[in-house]
Amino acid sequence: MPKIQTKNIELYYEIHGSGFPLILVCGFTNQIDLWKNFIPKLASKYQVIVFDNRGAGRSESSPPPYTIDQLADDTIDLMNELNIEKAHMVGFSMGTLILQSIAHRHAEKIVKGVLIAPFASLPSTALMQARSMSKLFGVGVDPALALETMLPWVYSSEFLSTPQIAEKIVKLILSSPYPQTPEGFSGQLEALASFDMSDRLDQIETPLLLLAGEDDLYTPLYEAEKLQKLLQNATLKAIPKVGHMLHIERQDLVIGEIDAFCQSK
Amino acid sequence: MPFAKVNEIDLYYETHGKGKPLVFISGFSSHHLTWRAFVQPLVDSFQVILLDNRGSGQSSAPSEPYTVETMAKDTLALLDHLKVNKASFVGSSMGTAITQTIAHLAPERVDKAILIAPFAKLPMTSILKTETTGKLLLAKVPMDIILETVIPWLFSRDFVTNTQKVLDKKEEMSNNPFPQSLEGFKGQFEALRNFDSTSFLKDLAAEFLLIAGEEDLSTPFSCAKFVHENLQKSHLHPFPRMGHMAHAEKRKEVLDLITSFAS
Repeated sequence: MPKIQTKNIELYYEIHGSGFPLILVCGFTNQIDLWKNFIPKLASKYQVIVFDNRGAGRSESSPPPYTIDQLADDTIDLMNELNIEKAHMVGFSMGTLILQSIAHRHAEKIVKGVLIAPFASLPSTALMQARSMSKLFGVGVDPALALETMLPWVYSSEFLSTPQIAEKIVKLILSSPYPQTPEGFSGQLEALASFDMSDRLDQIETPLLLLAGEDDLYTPLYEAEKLQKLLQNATLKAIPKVGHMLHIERQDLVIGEIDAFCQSK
Repeated sequence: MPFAKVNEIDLYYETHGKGKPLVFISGFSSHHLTWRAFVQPLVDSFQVILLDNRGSGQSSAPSEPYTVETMAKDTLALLDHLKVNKASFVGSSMGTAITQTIAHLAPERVDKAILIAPFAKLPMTSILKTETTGKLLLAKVPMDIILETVIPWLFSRDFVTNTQKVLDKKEEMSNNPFPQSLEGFKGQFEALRNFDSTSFLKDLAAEFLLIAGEEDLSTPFSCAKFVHENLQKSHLHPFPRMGHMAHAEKRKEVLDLITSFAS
């Protein structure tokens, strides 16, 4: 169970396989089990590093609020502690903001980046949904019901048409032995809510691949398109009939895209 | 307070003005007050007919499950009651399902049809969303929070960014003089989740105007495109940066579209 004390915070991480370093960065509320099906498939070619962001999983929750730049710095501190000079990076959702911050402020640390369900700033609709969920937790609503309010925002109609799927997803989240602390939830939420570096995106030179679900209701395709236009070296692939959780809904396709992009010259 | 006895229920309705009959049909859980700001600008040229669907407003809310077909027949029975042979229709959301069904059941009674946020089949995301809202209501979660889960699903990002507009909308929704009963919610939800016009859209002969928000999360733009591509005579009017509630957010524009299309 490796934990590492960086200069600011204690982070939980795991390393799998060997090869060029590939760091997978979680989204809002996620913990490393998000990547459990990715690790075996990527660890044959890469040194895969997964970790829990500040405020989630087994990493420490400092008092809120957090900022995306702080979460980016945590990632860089982890790399430094592990003597990883540079890496390819994959981020999901809030993780795509962390990658934008790294590519802007620590460009020498990131070789290529894959942004899954990316956005430049969180749409007000998604923010209001996240805040309402936080209020539901706050008034003591059954956590299963509070979590259920999130599902239609992040999964596609196709995916949700599988019988009992909503119950299964909620059960899986609630069965985590490392539930998110209220401080971690609100700290990450404020990081997510306050980030917008649209005016500096054109300074990023890192090659980036943006993977977006055409049916994403949480961070709709217009956000990925906006990001692609503002960046100077980004390719956008829009995937039909998929929502925000495209790495779950189209796991093999996403793994294939990550590998192909990292291997490309 | 006029009620019509139709299909063994009491249906609340209002008529305003004189001219070509124009019927407004509300969406899930809403009622005739949705359209109150549309009435005055139209009364000089139209006989405006408003009604509460079964299960909402002041109409009866029987406890058995409803179908969209039943609600279409309620509306047609109201027209019989009013001795209106033929009318144009404006429906929003579930009201577009009712309007499509009226055009299917009684094509001879439909002049023009205007559908705001139309769909042939409600996406699973919206079915789950509505189901969850029902659970929140049953769990007696404070209304203020329930509204905050619903507003971003229906209204555009520009609307939601405007704190004052959100506050006003919450105020208006909290002070709903005719909140929906649990029976009404269940009955209408059954109707909504089972509606599917895929098999008959191609047969509809009426001329349709479809008004759709390009950023509608509840019934995404692709739903309207599907309806548009399957109808015989259809005009599609997309609203950029708009959600499910074009008639509430862009009332003047929607009113102008209705007036010019139905005249």
